[in-house]
Amino acid sequence: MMKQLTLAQLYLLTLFLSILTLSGCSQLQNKKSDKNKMTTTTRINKSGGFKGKSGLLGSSTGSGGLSGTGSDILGSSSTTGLDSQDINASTLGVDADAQAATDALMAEGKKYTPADINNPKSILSQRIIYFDYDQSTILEKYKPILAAHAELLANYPEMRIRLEGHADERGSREYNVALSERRAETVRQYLSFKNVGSEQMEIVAFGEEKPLVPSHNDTAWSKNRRVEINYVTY
Amino acid sequence: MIHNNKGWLSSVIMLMLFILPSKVFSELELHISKSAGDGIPILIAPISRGFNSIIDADLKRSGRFTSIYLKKGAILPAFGVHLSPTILQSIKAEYIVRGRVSKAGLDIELIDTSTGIPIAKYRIANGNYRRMAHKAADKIFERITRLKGAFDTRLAYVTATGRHQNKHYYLYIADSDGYNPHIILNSDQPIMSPSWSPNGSQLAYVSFESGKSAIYIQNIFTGKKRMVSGHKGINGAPSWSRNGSQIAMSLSIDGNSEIYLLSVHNGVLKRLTNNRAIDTEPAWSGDGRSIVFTSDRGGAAQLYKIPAYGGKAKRMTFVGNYNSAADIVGNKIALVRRNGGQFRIAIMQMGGAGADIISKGQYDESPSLAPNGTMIAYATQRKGHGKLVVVSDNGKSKQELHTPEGEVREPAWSPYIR
Repeated sequence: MMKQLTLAQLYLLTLFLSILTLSGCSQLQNKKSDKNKMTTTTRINKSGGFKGKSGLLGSSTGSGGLSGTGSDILGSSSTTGLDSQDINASTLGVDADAQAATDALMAEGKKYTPADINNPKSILSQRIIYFDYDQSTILEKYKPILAAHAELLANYPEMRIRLEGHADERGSREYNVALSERRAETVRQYLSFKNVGSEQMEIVAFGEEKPLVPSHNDTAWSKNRRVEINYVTY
Repeated sequence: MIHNNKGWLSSVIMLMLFILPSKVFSELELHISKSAGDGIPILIAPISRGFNSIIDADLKRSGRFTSIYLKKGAILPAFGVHLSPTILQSIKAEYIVRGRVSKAGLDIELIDTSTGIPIAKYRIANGNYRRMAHKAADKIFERITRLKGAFDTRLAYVTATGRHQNKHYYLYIADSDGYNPHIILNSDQPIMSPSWSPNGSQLAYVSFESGKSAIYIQNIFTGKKRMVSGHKGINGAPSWSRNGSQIAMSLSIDGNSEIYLLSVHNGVLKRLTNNRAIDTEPAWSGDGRSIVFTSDRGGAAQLYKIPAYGGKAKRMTFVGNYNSAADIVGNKIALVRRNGGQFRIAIMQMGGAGADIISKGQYDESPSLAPNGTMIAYATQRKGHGKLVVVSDNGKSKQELHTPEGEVREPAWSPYIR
């Protein structure tokens, strides 16, 4: 039966299970179970996000429509000579709530909100970047992803992430731990350069111990050489 | 609901410790895939309780002996009884071993077939049945080869079962031939890099049970363990010094992996390397005076050597663009070498330039030498599953060990045990 679940459903299931476990833990703690060591974590991610929550930002993603309307009016404004404040006033009337929300965010300079992490349409739902063999250089194509996370983190200094470094299985195990740490460290430095506070980031290096794809071929290896950005609190 | 104030440090794990004698788990499946055809011919006569089979298998594993068997139906005169020249000539062996089980233990006699005279007699005191046989094999091996026997030793190794969220990791200890496996640690987070204390009573290892790497030492008899290194960043690659007072390890306190020495007694840390490159996998030289480690300071992983009191690191490997994971016994160094696209186990001499490739897999790793240097255990893959291989240093004998389910990896051969 498990096999029939889609990936998204599995992630949801995992989420619910961990919530259940967490609440179970808090009860257990009172009972002082002395046989099992148990610790808990708030782990919200895994690439792909939670599809069940898609559309969460639907109300505020009217920006595309807004700008469209705006440009039409602007097109006419050049002839009528209306100033921009008037145009803004008229667009507000289109969707006052959305514009208010956008304005509030723009006023603070905030392009992303924590909710975007779980929005599959947001770039923030991408939380894994991949590396070349035995390399820790950040590939150009992943920089926009990191930049987006950096922007969110810089604007929400109370948010915390855990950068998990991984390597493919080739080469010796402890060397791979060091290599995976270097990958996570490169990402940490990049985010730090983009104004993310050092206290917001932690690194864990897993080496080849936790492959994403447990096969032994190029495709699997390319998925396993990675750094995962895991949001711990928000 | 989320009451945890340690943040990511913790994860949803349930960790159970099994104290050594309390639980025995599935044995490794054993398969001798190759044995020497040109070794010293030796006949181990039948001994009650099957002691002879264990002794025979041990000697075979060394790659230095070829087993000779009695013809079907033939019976050799009993322990202590004179062997006639006719019998001696009919047996195409250089040595004959006969044994007798008494209340005192196992008596063994080693006979040179050129004279028919016992050249050695041993009494192995009663104890664990398989260990008695290994001890007998050690005596015979040493008498003939003049090398100390290492059959009565142990292997530590890690197994992993299940996938993704259901993955489980176990740290095992078994006899050196894979029998008598015991789980000494069980976790749903990775376990890595077991390293034996020189007296064989403790293991240092890396466990991610707290959510990140930390180094623990654990008494294998009592199961009692304690964390000895839980710094920020990597706590990896522990390697116990020859006298047991220090553990060399790789730490990344400053954000980059470096070699450190930790005093086991007072916890004092001493930093040995200072480099922007990866420095990891320290191994103590045979004389305990230097540390051999893996570094990519030259652009790719290579072995370097540094005095244990600190100083300048000197590159040791120049052949191949990836050399790592040294394990050292005496002057012998076992390592991982990439050869084309293949990772294989090589043996080189301290101070020597050349190396012999002794494995044939694609992704062979984690070499560990027996304390007498005559056998090497390593991890390999077959059909996508991790298993262990034990080869003789001359490459003539090969034994494979695998679990019925999951993967076996990271063998660590114990020192001589008492």
